[in-house]
Amino acid sequence: MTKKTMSILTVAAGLALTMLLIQRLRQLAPRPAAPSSNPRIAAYEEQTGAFMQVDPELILYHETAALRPPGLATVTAVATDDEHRIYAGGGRQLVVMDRTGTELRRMTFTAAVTCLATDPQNNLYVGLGNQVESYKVDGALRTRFTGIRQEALITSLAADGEVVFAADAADRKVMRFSADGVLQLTIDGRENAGGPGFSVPSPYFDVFLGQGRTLWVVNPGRQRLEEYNYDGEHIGGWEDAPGLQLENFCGCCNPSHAARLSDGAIVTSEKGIARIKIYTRRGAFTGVVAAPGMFDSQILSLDLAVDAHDRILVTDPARVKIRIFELINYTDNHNE
Amino acid sequence: MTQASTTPAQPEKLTRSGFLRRWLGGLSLALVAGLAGATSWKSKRKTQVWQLDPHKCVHCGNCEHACVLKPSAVKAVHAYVLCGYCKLCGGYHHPQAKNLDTAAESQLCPTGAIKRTFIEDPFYEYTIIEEKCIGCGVCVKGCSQFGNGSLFLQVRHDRCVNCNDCAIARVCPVQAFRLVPADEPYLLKGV
Repeated sequence: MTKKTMSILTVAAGLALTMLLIQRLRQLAPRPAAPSSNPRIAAYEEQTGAFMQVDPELILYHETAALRPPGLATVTAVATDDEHRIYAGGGRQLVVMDRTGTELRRMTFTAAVTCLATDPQNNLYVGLGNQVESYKVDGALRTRFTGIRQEALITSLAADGEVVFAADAADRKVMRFSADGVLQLTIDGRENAGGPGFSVPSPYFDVFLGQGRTLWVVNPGRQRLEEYNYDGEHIGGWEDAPGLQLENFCGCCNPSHAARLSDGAIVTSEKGIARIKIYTRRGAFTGVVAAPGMFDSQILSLDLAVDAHDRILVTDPARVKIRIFELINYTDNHNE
Repeated sequence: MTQASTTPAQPEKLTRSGFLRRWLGGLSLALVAGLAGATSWKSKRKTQVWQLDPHKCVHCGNCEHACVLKPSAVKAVHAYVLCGYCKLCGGYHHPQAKNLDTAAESQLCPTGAIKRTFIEDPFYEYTIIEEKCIGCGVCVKGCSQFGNGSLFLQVRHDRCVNCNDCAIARVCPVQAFRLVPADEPYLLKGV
């Protein structure tokens, strides 16, 4: 074998080994995305997707503003007061804005803001996991609430100036406090001693004030809204058949949030299929505020607040905005 | 004291055989490095197994068909600590179920691989029957959308043959598959 042939063979062997090495490296590299072709998943998406469509005739509200709270990375809690100030909470921050979205004040807390509420004197109540704090309108601390368990998860607050209700999703109970933060009583939702009480499968447990000194509690595991007097006695409520249909509440933890309009009608938001709807106080479906197509994700925590003009304020964590909806044509169909 | 030479250094003339020698020398070094790397990877590979990161998974359904095993080595698993034990379970009930019962037409799982057990009103426990699970992930999709995401998919290493080049990883749209230490083969939720 000549020297030249040897060289050629060596080069050929080297090239072959190099190609093998390249092939192995290519196998280790990330692959391009391949779409799913599983018919079971496709069928599921088609079935749930059908419920995302809403008859435009049923949409009673339109979006009139979308405010981005300055400096917030996320927005998960909202409240408003009689002076049209908007309180937006996300992470450990809270931003107070005027109705145009201009920042008035900013507050930073030691824990994440889990819920917000105001009272008729425009005092602010802030839920911070297992703590509740109240602040004057100028931002000065009024009080830190006492009597809350270390394991508590406060997911909702409602205040009328005399008492404050706090929903604890971890303990599945609602606590009533005096305005200065002293625990007065606990509502467990049990109609009798052995009753099941509130069913809270996930950290969504909302309360809001009714008309005439009543408290509404969302019982999400049962797709039910229950009305109590201030002493914790169950006085009424309604439940909806669970289901994906527009007039029902979808999934196991819905409605995730609720609020009351001035005429007593109830506005609800859901997760799983992100939609906001209106019911009469007796539970009759009235119409839609925002259809699923208005949201970038269907798995969102859409906190709600209603201002003095019955405008509905909604947190949109995906867009980091407070979205505001107003009635298109008012009809008196909220009253029964 | 040595006088520095003023004669400029002449560049060495590159002959054809010299060029070939240099080129082959470089190639040999690259090959040695490559082989060392491949050997090291192979030795490391023996102590690693494929697993699916449930936080990246988008429950596309590819795990059911792409695995070389039939049924797939990927199965649904349940993080009880995350579960709400609901009567209405997005992972168990068909989205169009008329009743929240255990009738076949009410169930989402195509093979009836989820067992529902009444605990106390209104709580139910959901258990995966591994032998029936085909890894399609439709329960995971339902649980993620409407529930707490307590159902998720994992490669079961009592079944997985641990291919060098995992067939599911190759088609995973979000690169959720990765090699993990064989002595910690699961990526669990809720722990």
